[in-house]
Amino acid sequence: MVKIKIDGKEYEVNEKKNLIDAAKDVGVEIPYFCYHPALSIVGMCRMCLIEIEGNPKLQAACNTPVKEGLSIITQSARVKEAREGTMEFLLANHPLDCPVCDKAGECDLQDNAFSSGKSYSRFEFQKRNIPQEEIGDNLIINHNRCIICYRCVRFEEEKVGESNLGLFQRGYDSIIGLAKDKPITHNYQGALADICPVGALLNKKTLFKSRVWWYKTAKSICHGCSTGCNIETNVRDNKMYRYMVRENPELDMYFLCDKGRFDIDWLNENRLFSYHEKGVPSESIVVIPKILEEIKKASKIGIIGGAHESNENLSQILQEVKKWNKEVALEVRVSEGQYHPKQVDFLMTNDPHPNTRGALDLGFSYNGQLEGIISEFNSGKIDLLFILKEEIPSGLKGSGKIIVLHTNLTSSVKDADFAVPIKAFAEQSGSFTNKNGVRQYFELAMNPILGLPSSGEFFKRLSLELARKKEALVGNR
Amino acid sequence: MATVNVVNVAQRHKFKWYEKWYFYSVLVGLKITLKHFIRSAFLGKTVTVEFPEKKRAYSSRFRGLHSLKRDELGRERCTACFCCMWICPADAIYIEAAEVTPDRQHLHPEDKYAKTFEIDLLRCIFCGLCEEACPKGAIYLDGNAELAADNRQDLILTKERMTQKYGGPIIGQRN
Repeated sequence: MVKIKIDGKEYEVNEKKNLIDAAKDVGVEIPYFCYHPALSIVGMCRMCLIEIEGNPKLQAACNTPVKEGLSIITQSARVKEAREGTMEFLLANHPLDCPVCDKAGECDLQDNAFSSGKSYSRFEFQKRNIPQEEIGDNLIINHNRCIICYRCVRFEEEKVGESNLGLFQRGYDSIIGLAKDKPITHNYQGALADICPVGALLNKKTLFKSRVWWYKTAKSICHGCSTGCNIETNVRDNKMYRYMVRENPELDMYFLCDKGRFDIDWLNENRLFSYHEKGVPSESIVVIPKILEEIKKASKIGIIGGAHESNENLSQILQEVKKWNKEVALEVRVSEGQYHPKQVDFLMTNDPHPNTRGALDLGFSYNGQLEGIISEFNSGKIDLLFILKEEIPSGLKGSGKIIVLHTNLTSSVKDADFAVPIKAFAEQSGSFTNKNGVRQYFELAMNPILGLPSSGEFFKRLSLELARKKEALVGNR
Repeated sequence: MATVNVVNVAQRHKFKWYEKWYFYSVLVGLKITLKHFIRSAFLGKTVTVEFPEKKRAYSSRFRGLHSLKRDELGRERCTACFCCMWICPADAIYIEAAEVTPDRQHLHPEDKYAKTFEIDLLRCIFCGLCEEACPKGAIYLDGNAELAADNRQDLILTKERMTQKYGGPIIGQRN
């Protein structure tokens, strides 16, 4: 920690941080476009100009090292004039199409134009007009809106490791374009659109679907893989529209991959809301007594999967299953990536489950692994198998019953003897433990339909019904 | 403490001797009736309008049926920015936006347009907030007031029904 002076006041800040971040920590906002905490510094936008005492010229704050005794001024008339001038240059060619632009509402240019720009334009000429281009299978670029902040090029070079975009020509003609003949196909097109401070880069998948100010946000954890990126869910009319990054400097989380970002349709479509018996929709009062019969008859119970469930649900399942006084085989690992996890790229892993580590920590691992449970089921040793939001593993031939707990109407629901609808992770709060063992909490983002149990609640209901004494049926149920 | 400025409103009017006479009041009433009868029957000064056949001109500030405007080049002004849908207090507007393809670029000034634009007239309260919110001057409540229909489907105003056929400057623009 070092002592620096901002606007005449003395603050103690972290010298390892950038000056913009250090100032933000103590409550002084310096506007910027091109600076990004996870990317290298270029100082291209000139928006963060500040006065440094003892320095005749204005300096870019992002490129100024924080050191003991530094004294900066962020609110003088000179700084204000410089920022107004920068805004005027940036807005000279920026079209006034905020009603059409998908970025409106979360646009840095809008915010900074409001806070440090002028309220009128002196530019009287025809604005530059370059047609929109498709530069990726999920990415379009609108050159008119681009302010040449170089964030996208830096992100591709430094984080993704692929250089598809480049800055061509000079001065007034500067343009961000494809450096290769082929369109972008990598896994970070959503992140490119996200770090763009204006609406120049946009994703086709979310284009014109909604407006930013409609979304209700909740803090959540990405469900896509075992990395557990911190996200904000954007929900409108109880439908999930998109995930946004929730920056977490402590865990170095600034980006999201497309696999996690756009894998949201399963929350909105094809949901399982009714109990099924042999692939036919049924009711809980019909299905649950039959499941109870099976539990009473069973000699050994197997539970497969659970890496999609929160730690809270898993520990409740463990607790309830213990009350049944049966031999239980628990196994969470059903895919290759769960046995041998490795990174696919700088964020994504090959394990598409958010909570494998948490389940393993709770003891969801069987000595015989998945193969052991399958062979025991086939030989009749296990005669009741619960499957938690997974496909039915191939090679199951035994005569025992299979009960699938799932959020969606998949083929496993059709094939199982009984299927139980459960809440998705966005419809409850809880925690996932990521691949590094960090337990991260998520909030309720969508309202579940009434009466839909979570997997833990379903197991609790089973043990309550098992413990209940038989009562004579009187009148209506 | 004495009360200040109190008027006794309960005090009743004191009738004169002729006012207490029954036929005086009847004649006063008949005089008014006779006056209006002569004015309308002989002098042609009627107050009412025979509505379905004759119609009165609306005030320029009257808010009636919605219309979607076109600009001078005949293009749709609406760019599906969702501002009207957002501000609508009755939740009557439903918009679905789509990207403008080159084959319909001549119909739209921007690259976004409203694929569907529906106003549920059963929900609409004709408050005029949508025309206030519109940044493009695309929607105005400048139609008439006769909205009766004999089924619900007719009361859902679709884009085809409310878009102007020809473009031009907006005539009914409000201050």
